[in-house]
Amino acid sequence: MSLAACLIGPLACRAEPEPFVDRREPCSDRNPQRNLYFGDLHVHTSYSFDAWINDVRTDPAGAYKFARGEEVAGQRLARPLDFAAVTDHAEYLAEVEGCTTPGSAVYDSARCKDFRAGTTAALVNFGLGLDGDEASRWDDLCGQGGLDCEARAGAVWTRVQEAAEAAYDRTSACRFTSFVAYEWSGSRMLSNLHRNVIFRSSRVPALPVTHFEAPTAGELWRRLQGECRDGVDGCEVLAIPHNSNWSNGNLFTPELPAGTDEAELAEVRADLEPLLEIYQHKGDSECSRGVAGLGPPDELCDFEKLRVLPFDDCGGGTGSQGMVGRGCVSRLDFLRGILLAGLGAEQRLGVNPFRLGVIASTDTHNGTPGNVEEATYPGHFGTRESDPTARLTGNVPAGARNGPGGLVAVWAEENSREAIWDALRRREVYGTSGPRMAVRVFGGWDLPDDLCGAGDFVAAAERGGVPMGAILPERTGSSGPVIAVSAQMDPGSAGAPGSRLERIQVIKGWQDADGVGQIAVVDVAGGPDGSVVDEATCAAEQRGSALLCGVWRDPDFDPARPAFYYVRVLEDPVCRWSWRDCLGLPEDARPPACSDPTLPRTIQERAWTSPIWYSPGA
Amino acid sequence: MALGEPSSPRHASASALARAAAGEGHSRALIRRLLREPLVQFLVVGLALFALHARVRPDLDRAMRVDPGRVESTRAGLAERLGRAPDEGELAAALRDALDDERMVREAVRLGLDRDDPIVRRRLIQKLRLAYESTADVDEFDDAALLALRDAEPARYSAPARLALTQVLAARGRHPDPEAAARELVRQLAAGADPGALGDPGPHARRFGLRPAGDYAGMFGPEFAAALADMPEGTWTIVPSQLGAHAVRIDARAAAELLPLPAARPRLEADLAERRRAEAVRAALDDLRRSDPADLTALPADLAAALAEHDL
Repeated sequence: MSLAACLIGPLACRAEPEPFVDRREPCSDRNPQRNLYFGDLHVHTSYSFDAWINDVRTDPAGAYKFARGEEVAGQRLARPLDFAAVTDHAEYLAEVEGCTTPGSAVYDSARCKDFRAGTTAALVNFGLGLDGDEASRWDDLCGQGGLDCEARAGAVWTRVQEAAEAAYDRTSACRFTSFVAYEWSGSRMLSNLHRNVIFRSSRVPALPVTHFEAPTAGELWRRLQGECRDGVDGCEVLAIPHNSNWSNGNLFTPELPAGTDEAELAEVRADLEPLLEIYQHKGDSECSRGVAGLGPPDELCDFEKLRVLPFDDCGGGTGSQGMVGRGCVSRLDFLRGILLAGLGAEQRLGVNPFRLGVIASTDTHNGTPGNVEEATYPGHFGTRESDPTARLTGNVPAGARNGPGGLVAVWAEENSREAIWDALRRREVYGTSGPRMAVRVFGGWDLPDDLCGAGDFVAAAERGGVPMGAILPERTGSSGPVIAVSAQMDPGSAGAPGSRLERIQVIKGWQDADGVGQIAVVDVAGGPDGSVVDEATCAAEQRGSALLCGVWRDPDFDPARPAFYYVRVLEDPVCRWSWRDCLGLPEDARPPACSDPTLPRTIQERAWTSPIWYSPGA
Repeated sequence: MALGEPSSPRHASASALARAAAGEGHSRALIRRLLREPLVQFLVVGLALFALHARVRPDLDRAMRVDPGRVESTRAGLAERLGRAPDEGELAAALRDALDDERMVREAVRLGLDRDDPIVRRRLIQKLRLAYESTADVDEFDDAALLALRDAEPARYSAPARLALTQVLAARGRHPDPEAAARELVRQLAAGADPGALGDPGPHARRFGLRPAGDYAGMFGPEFAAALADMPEGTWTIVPSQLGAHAVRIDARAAAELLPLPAARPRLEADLAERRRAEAVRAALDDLRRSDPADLTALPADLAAALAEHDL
């Protein structure tokens, strides 16, 4: 932590967490050059109301077994994950337990019977019950004569922790890491504000913070600070927002209650929320061609969009009802717009509240973390999407526009909770739309031009560079910064080879002299390669590379203005799950999605890295 | 429905029911000893199922009864959904829909429409299975049981075999013949060249500490990991993969190690709980098979006898 940052406010001066707060054997492979680990930090099980109601009965223990490569509910990962966090909705943990436990005080209530019947009305009621700052627990379930919801939630939360503990490999083999976690599920006027809360160790508060006690993000942060960091010795936590594409600009429009110091709030946010989940089951939140302020047209932004034109641009305002596919779409719904807003705030406040690293995950509601293969996508919502026609015609929440989601990749010294959490905290992470390509990024002022020649890229680049997620050190020389990228294709699994790489792009964002955010997209290795997919059979002819490497020096650098640089790596295309489903149906039985020209038949899977930032004051 | 949703196994276990039946005066140790007796286990499972059934058996008349409580809860549910108080027509429609649902369910069951419906069958089987599972004792585990499970499946409760290696890649697409390029790498490496100065600029480190072979499959593909099994230590070997060809040297190996009980305990407890639930289902199914045997009279006698030996 720099002295300058430390002087800004007391939070930035907080002591670094202890290296280890959980007792465990040291990992037999602790690599100072850092290893790559793949995981899923957004997983729902039968403890989530919207999973249970869709007939999902896999619990957190089952989800962790699935992540470790064991068969669960008839499915098995071809490749186990290295880590996972079960993030059930913190809200309704007690209510779901009570409604599904015969003999409980509320088991025979009308609301519980509706819930068990899985009626759409019940799903709507439970969902709407989470909306708005006035949302509260239902009296008929948690009031007098009902459940002791706090005690019930505590018991369920204990089981969540026990499942994580049983799955965590504390031996020196360090095969699998689980995190104790939950999802805070607030929304306002049906604009999504959800965050996943991930703890660094087994030292966690007695109860999760729910939207009922903490109706705003600011209140969530205050409680995480008070109940975890200040309340439990060794407790550390971060929160990861997701589905900004559902938020009508609300997730990243700062709320400033009367008397709030904007810079202080920005500092708290930057401290507790260092990451953004930009891809998952409900689509992509990197960029869009449909809203202004995200740079010149970039056709590669037309990727896994939950909403397609026409829609209104929120402009400088916000909208509502994004969670039901309505309302305006904001530039603050997308990574590029959010990062640009962060640069603006940095100029104005001296603090960048949106210095966000990038991850992806699944948001599975089947209790199946990491189940991301396009070719075997079983649907998202239990039995509601368990056959091709249901998946292609469903609307929960977007039918054929949904997808299996992605993965989070982490560069960490070892596969332990602390090492992976610390990598998340320093943003040395990236997201993929599912594949396991390896992507390494360094930035610096003096990185050698021949980094992509022969020799150890990592050893050479880390000598003069900083990794993804970092801030460039004080400038040396008179040129712009150098961004160096090495990317290796996903090697695949037995019988399912990975796809080749088409290109590496650097996306630069900066503020021009007028304070207007600008974006540039530059190909730095590879390019369009003529790969094709036969849509009659889904056979792919791929002409890309196994390994791509690029070194790029920013030729238009203004040292007076902050900037960011993130990397996008594209694979050669393959068939999208929806078209595979269509091909599996007789032509006369195919639903309209199969002939919808706005629904792509192929997908160009990709990775997005955390940015490297330039800050004039660094 | 014959059964409601079964409880979480932690809240309706056989041991909990047995403790209640045993009364306050008995010690937990005595109960544990008793619970290990097969006859007692049988009785406990039977009692638990009886109690479970009694608790969840529906009151058939109640489903058609419209009392003030039902009216008010329906009104409240509608108000939440609509965002305003429902009018009398909306309230009556909601009540009528619920009653109609019940009427239709009763009629459908009377007509036997549930019998051949795969979705209904799946739900019923799922509910009954969970009900049986909830009778298993999963609250406490003694060390002897945990150790017996560990020792019965040592591979599952061991730290896996691991190996440390150094690898240098000649990537497909960067060389006309990656294997020839890898042969040249091996020649130079065997002559003492620094691995960090050779090969293509990949994103991974060149050296890895002791890791399971599966980790290497994740990084470099299944062919790469498979080649490591019989590779000698300390010499450079060419390994082809989806990525090209690698020069690989195994630097160290560590054999698999059986985990001590403290390290394996959380997983053993989780696995033992799952096994006890499976055993509860199996025991209940045994009873069902006895009470509801298969009709094999249409089969030739020898085939019927052969099948009957397999608990058909």
